[in-house]
Amino acid sequence: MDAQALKDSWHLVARSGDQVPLFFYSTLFLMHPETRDMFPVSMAAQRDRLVSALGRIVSNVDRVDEAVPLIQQLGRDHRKFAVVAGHYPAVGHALLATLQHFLGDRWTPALANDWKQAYELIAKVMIDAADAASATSPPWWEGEIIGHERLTLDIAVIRARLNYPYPFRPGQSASFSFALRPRLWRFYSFANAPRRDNTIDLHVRVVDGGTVSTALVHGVQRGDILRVGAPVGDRLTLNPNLPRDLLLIAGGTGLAPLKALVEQVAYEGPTRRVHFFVGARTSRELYDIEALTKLETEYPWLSVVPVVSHDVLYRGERGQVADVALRAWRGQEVFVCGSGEMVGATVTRLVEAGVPNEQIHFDESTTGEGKEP
Amino acid sequence: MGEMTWEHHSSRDFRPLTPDQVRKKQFSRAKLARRGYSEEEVESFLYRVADEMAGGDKEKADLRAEIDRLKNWYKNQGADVADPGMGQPRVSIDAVNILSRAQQTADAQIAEAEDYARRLVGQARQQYELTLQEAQQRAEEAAVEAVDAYRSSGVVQSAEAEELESRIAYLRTFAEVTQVQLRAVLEGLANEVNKLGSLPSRSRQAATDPLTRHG
Repeated sequence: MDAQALKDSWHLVARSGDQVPLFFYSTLFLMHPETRDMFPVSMAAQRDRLVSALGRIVSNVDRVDEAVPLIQQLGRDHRKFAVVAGHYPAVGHALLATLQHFLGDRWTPALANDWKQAYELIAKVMIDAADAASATSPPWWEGEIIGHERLTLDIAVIRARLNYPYPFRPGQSASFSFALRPRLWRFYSFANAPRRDNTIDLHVRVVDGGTVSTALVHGVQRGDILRVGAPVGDRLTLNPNLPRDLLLIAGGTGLAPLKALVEQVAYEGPTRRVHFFVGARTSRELYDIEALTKLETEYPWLSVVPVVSHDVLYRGERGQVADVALRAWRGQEVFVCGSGEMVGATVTRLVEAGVPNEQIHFDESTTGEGKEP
Repeated sequence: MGEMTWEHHSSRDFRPLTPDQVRKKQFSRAKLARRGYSEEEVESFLYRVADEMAGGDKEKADLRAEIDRLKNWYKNQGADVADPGMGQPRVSIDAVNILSRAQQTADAQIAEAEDYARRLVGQARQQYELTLQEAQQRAEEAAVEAVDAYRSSGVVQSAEAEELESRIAYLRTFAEVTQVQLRAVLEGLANEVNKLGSLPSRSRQAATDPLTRHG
């Protein structure tokens, strides 16, 4: 297999931009109409994902140790889309037809053979990884919604009970899908530490015009089933070997994964002081403050401080949550979660105030419609 | 857990409604002082029924296509059926491009609809903030007025009673101004957004075709 030839030809093809995945999917659907149903109505986001995944794989084609884990991860993740080994040849057909179409005269039998071999290898790695994973975990978990509470006009807290044990760490998230919005997956953080009864909590805010979040807040009801992908992410997880005190800074529904950390300290220890600063624009948006206050009265090591930025009538702490939180910083590990904007501004403030980079853990709140696999 | 194999585990994504469930569906009573069903609940239930019927129609269409494929397969037995290996059956480029254009049109329209919804909700949110501010102001005024009225009513006055009077007036006005308006607006929008993102089904298209519409 000539790695350089693969790279060169891919770069040539990639120049045609969106045309390439567009042609690829149309070819796939024409050759194998049964595959159309595995994708959402709008393919715009899907096309971007395909090109970036292919690009990453092709550019690592000669560095097997880098490429293989990536491809294995891809294969495992595809189980949740109900992709089976039988689908791979169809994709191979469409891929070769697409390359041939865009390369024209440069498409030689030798190059065709290289691509064919490369694709078969990738497919094999993906299928093997999926098979290996199927020995230990389901393709997706199913969670029956047992609680759905709209706490503000656009925030709901959802509790679901999963059908099989689900090993995750507080601070992680997973992708979710459900029948009202078939084939659309969105990431949400767990708002709790693992529980014996296998239930999980999600905090969902309606994103303006967002089809998935709107359906989750206003559409689904108790008894509906959520599909849940494998847990991902470690940017907001605690290092058990580093029992430092914590300073948690949340914006809006970004409090979900941080609340999970509080529960982890409560359930597993080791006990440490936790300062939890909960930011919101108005007091009405402090949707979970009741539950947090309850935790505060229960645990002497926890203090919860709500901070409101846009509400002149609010009687508690007012201003930017980062500023208020900084007054309490005494060298703790800092965790930040909220909207992209809030996280950016907060991290900047922390760094300016002299908090060392390695003590700042942050991630954007996973309630955005844009957060896709 | 034990010996579970996942390969053959594919449960439905949702529990299909049965005609019996539809017949026996219990709607909870509406709030006090309003007779009849909770409209929101009835409506969302009807939507689900419609969705599920649409799903059934789609499934039937898929089955018909499957039957068609099987028929063709039998017809072609003996002829050279292409094996699903890496051999390359030719697809008409024209067909690919027609499909691509259709896909692009769909993508654009969905994006446009989502954008429209985004702006609509954004405006609603602004409206909501304004309404709240206005309600707070009006409530403040009502509270002041209530105290004045109380003072001039000649009843024996105490600071606590005055405070109470003022709070009641504030809350009452605030609630009146905000509640009805906001709920109606936001739920209407939520329903609109809800309609996005689902495929228009064939049956619905057929229903809008004057030739197949039944009087």
